[in-house]
Amino acid sequence: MHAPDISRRPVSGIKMMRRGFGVWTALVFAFLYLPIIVLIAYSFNSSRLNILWEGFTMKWYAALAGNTPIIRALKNTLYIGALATVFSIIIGTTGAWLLYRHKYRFARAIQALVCVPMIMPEIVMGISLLIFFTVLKMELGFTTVVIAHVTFCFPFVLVAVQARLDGLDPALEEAALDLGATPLQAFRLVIVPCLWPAILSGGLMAFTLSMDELIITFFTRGPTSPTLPTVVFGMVKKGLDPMINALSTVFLVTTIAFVLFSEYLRRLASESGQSTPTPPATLLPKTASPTPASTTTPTPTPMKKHSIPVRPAAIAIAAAAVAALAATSCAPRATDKEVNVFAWSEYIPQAVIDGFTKETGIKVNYETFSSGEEMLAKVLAGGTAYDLVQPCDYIAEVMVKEDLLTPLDYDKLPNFKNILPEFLNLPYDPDQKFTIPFMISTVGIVVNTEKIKDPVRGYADVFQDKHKGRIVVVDDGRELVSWAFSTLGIDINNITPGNLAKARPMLERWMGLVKIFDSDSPKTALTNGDVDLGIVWGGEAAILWKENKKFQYVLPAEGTHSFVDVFAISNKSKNRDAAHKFLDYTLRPEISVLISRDFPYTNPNGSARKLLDTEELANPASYPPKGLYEIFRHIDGKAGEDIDALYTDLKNAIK
Amino acid sequence: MQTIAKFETNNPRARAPRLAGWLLLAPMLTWLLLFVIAPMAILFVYSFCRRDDLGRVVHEFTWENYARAFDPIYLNILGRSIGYAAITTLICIAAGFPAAWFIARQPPVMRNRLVMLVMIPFWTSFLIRTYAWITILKEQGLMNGLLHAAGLTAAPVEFLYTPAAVIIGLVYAYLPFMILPIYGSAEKLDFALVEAAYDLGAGPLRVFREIIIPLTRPGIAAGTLLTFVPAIGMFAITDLMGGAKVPMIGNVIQKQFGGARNAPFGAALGVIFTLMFIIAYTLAQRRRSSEQ
Amino acid sequence: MIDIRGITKRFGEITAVDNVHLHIEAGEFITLLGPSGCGKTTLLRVISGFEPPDAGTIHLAGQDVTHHPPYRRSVNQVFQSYALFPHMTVRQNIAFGLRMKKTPAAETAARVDEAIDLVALRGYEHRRPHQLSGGQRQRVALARALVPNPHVLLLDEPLSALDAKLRRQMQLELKRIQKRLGVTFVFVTHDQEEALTMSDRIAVINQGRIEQIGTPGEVYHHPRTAFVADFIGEANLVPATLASRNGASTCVVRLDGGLLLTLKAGQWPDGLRRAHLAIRPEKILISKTLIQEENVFEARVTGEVFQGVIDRLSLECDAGGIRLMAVVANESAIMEAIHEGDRVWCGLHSDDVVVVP
Repeated sequence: MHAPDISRRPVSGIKMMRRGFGVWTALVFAFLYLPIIVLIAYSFNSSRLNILWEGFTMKWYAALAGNTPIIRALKNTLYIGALATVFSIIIGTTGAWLLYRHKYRFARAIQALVCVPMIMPEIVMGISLLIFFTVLKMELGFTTVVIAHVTFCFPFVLVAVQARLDGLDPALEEAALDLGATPLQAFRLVIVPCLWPAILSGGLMAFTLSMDELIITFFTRGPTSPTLPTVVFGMVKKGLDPMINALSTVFLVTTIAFVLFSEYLRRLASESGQSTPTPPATLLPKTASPTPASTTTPTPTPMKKHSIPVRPAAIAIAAAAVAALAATSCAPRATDKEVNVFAWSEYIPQAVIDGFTKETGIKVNYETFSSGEEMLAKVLAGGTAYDLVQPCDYIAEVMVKEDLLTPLDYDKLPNFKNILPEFLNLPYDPDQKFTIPFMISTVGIVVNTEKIKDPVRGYADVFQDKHKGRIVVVDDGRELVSWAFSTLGIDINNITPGNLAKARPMLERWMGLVKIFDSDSPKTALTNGDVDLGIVWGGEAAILWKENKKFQYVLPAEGTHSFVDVFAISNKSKNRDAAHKFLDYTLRPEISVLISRDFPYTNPNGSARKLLDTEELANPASYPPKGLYEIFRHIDGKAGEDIDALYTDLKNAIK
Repeated sequence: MQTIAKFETNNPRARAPRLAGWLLLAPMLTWLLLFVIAPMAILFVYSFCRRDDLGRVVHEFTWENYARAFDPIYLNILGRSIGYAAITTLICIAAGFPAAWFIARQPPVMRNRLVMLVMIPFWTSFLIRTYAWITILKEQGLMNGLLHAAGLTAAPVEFLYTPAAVIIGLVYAYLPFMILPIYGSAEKLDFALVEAAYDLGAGPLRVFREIIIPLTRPGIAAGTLLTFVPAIGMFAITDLMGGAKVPMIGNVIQKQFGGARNAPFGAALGVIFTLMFIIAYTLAQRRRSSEQ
Repeated sequence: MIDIRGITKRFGEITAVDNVHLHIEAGEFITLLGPSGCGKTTLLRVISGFEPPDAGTIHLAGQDVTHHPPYRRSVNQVFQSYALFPHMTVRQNIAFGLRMKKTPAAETAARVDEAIDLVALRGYEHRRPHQLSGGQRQRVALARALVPNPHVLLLDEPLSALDAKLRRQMQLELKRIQKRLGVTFVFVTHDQEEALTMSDRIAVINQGRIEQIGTPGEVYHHPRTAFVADFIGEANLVPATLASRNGASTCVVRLDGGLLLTLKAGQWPDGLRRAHLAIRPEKILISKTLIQEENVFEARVTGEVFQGVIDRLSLECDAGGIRLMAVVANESAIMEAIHEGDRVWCGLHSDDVVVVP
C-alpha cells in the first residue's frame, strides 16, 4: 500500500476551500439580492396592491416623478442619514480610539452604556427622548431627529472600529509621534487611515440604520420633517404603492451603478495623479452620503497627494450640518400662515392638501401616526404645538377628559351642516363641542368566496376547526375580546375580570385557529391566498372588494362595532383660524368626496355621499346597512391591563 | 460561544488618561449622559409610578410593575426572544463568515465594492423588503413555484407564517451586521500567518479553526454584539413573517407604550431588560479580562 | 548630546530601569546590550519619550526634555516591527516626519530623495510596505527616522528580523551611514556580536542596571563583572581562590579542582579571597608538543566541533578535571591536527586571564 501523498493534500484542500468560499459568497449575495430583484420586478407591476403580478407598466415611475412629498421625504431621509452617519463616525471612531488608547476608570461601565441604545427597544428610546427633549424645551424637528439617530447609530461605528483596533500594531502611533506628529496628527494621518475599513463598514451600518428607522423618528420628529419610512409605513393601510418600489429601484440602481463605476470615476478625478489615494477614503464620502451636502466633497487632487481626502469633506459636511441645524431651529413662524396637522398616515390625499394651500396660501405640515395611542403619547408629551389632531373615538374621549382640545367655533365652519345627524353627539363628545366626525368604519368578516363555499354569517362560522390555519384577524386584544363578548351577549364596553374569564375559553379556541394576526395590512394574506377568511377593518375589506369581488364583506350576526375617526383642534394650537379654515375645507362636499374615493370608509358627510357613484355606494364594506353600530368607549386602566395580560397570555399559549 | 465583544483595551501601552484624555472623551460621555442616561433615568422613575385611568403616568411610588414583570409569562417571552436571537446569530456567523473572509481576500478595489454591495439592499424600505420576502415565500410564491417546477414538491409547502420564516427574515435583516465587522477583522489579518500554518502542515480546516477563527475573533464578537443584541428586541419581522402568533419581548414593551397605554409597566420591562443586558455584558467582560 | 541622570522606571513591582546614569557624546554610536527583559528597550522608550520615568532626568543637547512628549524631541526611532504606515507609499512614509515639521515641499522632496539614495531604495518609492522585503522595509524605517535630521537616532533591535547575511550587510551599512551623517546612534540589541561590530561604546545592561560601559575592546578584554564576561563573547568562567602572593610581582591562584595559575600581583584585587577567572577560549594555546608560556598545563581533548575557520575543543585538565573550552584556528593542513582523545599541552598568559569579582 502506498503512503498518501501528503504534500499534495493541503494544496488541493486550499483550492477547494477558496472555491467553496467563493461559491458560498455568491450564494450569500443571491440571498441578499433575491428580495431586491422581486422588489424591482414589482415596480413594473400594474397592480395597485403590489401583491399579485398583473402586467408590465411604467406608470409608477411617472407617478414618482410627480410626487413631491415622497421626493421631499427621501431628501430628508438622506440628509438625516448623512448627518447621523458623519456624527456617528466622529463620535464612534474617536470614542473607540480613546477607549483603546487610555485606561479610563469606569471603562467597562462606559462601554456597557454605549451598547444600551442598541438594546433599548425603539419605542422606549423614542418616548424617553421625546420626554427629555420636551423637558429641555427643544422644539421637535430636524435637529432632534438627527440627535436621536446619532444616539442609536454611533455604537455601531464604535463597536466596528474597536474590533479592528484590537491587534493594531501599537508602534504605528508611536512611530508617528516619534516623527514629530502631535497625537491629533497621529490619529488623523495614521490611525484613521488604518481604521478605514472598519470606519467604512461602521458608517455604512449607521447610514443604513438611520435610513430605515421608523419608531424613534416618529417620536422625535416635528411636523416639517417627514422621512421616507414614515411615509412608506403610512402606505401599508392603502396597500403598499409600487411607487415605493419604483423609488427604491431608482435609488438602488443609481447607488449600485455608482459603486460599480467608482473606480472609473476615481480615475477620472485623479487623471494625472501619480499617487493614488486609498480607495476607502474616496469611496465613503461619495457613496455613503449621497446628499447635496456631499456633492461638495473635494476630489483628491494630485497636488495634495499626502492628505487624506475625506478630511475636508468631513469638515465640510459637519459645518453644513451645524449650519442646517441652526437654521432649522431658528426659523421664525408667522401665525396662521401654516397649520400643523397630526393625522393618520395617508388619510388625507395630497390633492386635498395642495388644493387648500393653493386656495388660502396656508402651508400644511402633515405629520402622520399609525396608532391612536402613539399619537396620544406624543401629544401628551407636548413637544409640538399641533393645530389639528385626528383621534379615534375612545382616544378622543380621553383627550376631551384630559382637556387637550379647544372648543370649536362653528361660525367658522359653515360646511358642518353637511354632516349627517346620526354621527353627532356620540358618547365621546356628547355636546359636539370639540370634534367633527371624519370617517367611520366597522369591523367585519371578509370571505374569499372562491375558497369558502359554506355561508359565513358570523364569528361562529369563521372559527370552525375546518378553517384552522386559514384565518387572519387584526392583532388587537380589545377587538378579539369584543367579538367574544358579542358572541356571549355581553356589552362590549363592560370589561370586568368576570366577563373576561367567561370569554377566555372561547378566545383560547379561536386564537388556536388563527394563522395570522395583522393589524396593519390583513389584506395582504387574503390577496396572496395564504388565508381565506379574515376579521378585519372595514377599510381593508373595502379595498379588497374593490380589487376583486370574490372578497365578500359580512357584518357578523353576533354583532359588531363601529369606530369613528374625528378631527379636533388641540388646546395648544397657535393657528386656530387656519385650523378652522382647513376643517371647513375638508367638509366641503367636493373635497370630502376626494377623501372618500381615496379611502373607501363610511363618509359621514351627507352631501359628499351624493357625489359618489353607485358602485362606490354599493361597496358593503364602505356603506353597511346600518350607518352606525356600537362604538368603543374609553376603558379604565385596570380593564386595559387585564385585556393586555389575557391577550399576551393566550398568544403565548398558541402552539 | 464568545458572545460579547471585547472592549477592554488590548493595547499593551494604554495608560491612565490625563486631563486631555478625559476632555477628548467628554463629547461622547456628554452624549451618553444626555441621550442615554437621562432618558434611562426618566424610564427608571416611570417604572416605579402608577398610571391613571386615562393612561397618564402618576408619580406615586409602587413596586407593582416589577412584581408583574417577573410573571412567568414575561420570562417565557423573554426566553423565546433570546432563543430566536441566538439562532439568528449562529446562522449569521455560519453564513456570514465565509463571505466576509472571501471579500477580505479580494484586491482592495473589489473589496470595497463588495462591502458596499452587502449593505446596499438595506437602503430600501424595510417594509418593501419584507413584503418582497412574503411574495417569495407565500403559498403560491416564487419559492413554491420553483420547488414545484423542479419536481421537488407536490403540494405547496407552508414557509410563511412559520418559525422558519421568522428566522429567514431575522437572518436576512442582520446578516450584513455580521459580515461587516468580520470583514473588518479579516481584512487586517496577515495572510502570511495562514500560509505559515499551511506550511507547518495544517490542513485547510485546521487552519480555519486554529488560525483564522481565533485571529478574527474580535470581528466575530463585534458582529455577534451587533446582531444578537438588537435581534432580542426585534418584533416587526416576527409579526410580519410569523403572523404575530408568538409574542416577543419587543412586542410586549411596545404594546405597553401603545395600545395598552401602561407606560410604567413598559418602563419596568425596559429597565429590567436593559439592566439584564448591562449585567450580562459586564460579567462577560470581567470573565474575559480575568482570563487574560 | 544625551545626558541620562538617575533614570528609574518601574512597572508595578518590577523595576525595569534602575537608577541609570549614562552620558552619550554627539556623533557616538552607542549600543545598549543585554539579554531580553533587561530593561534596555524601556530605557530607549524613556529616551524617546514614550515612557515617563519615575525618577531622574534626560537632557538632550543641553536641554531638559524629561517631560517633553515624543513629538517634541529631536529623537527618532527605528522600531523593531518597523511600524511602517501600511496605507502610505515608501515615499510618503519617509516624508512623514518632514511633513509634520511643515517643511517646504521642494526641500522635502530633495531630502526624501537624498534619503532614498542613502538607503538605496531608488525605484521603490511608490511601493507600499507590504510590497517590500524585510531588508527593504528596514531601510525605509531607517530612512524615515533619519530624514527629519534628529539629534539622536534610536534603533530598537532593528536587525532582529533579518537573516544572518543580510544582517551583517546592514550592520556595515548602518555604521557607514552613521559615520557619514555623524548622527548619534543609540542602538539596542541582545546580540553581542552586533554590538562589538558596530559600536563606539557599549553599555552592558543587566536587570535594569548598567554593568559596564566601554569600548568594544574594553568590555571584551576587560569585563568588569562575571555577567559581562559571560555575556560578551565566550568565556570560561572558573571559580578560584588566592593561593599565595609572591611579593609585589606575582600571585598564584588555585582554580577549584586544583589547577594553579600564576598571575600578576595587581590582577587579583586586595582583600578578595574568592573570585571568578574569565578565560577567553581563543586565548588558550594548544599544542601536542610542550610549549613555552607563563602557565602551562596538560589536558585531554574530550570533544571537537568543526566550525569552518576554527575548531572548538572541549578540554579536561589533568589537574582536578577542570573543563575548559578552547578554540584553535584551522589554518592549514600543515599544522598538526588535533582530535578527540588527544593529549595536549595548554599555555595561558597571565594577561589573558581576567579576574572578575
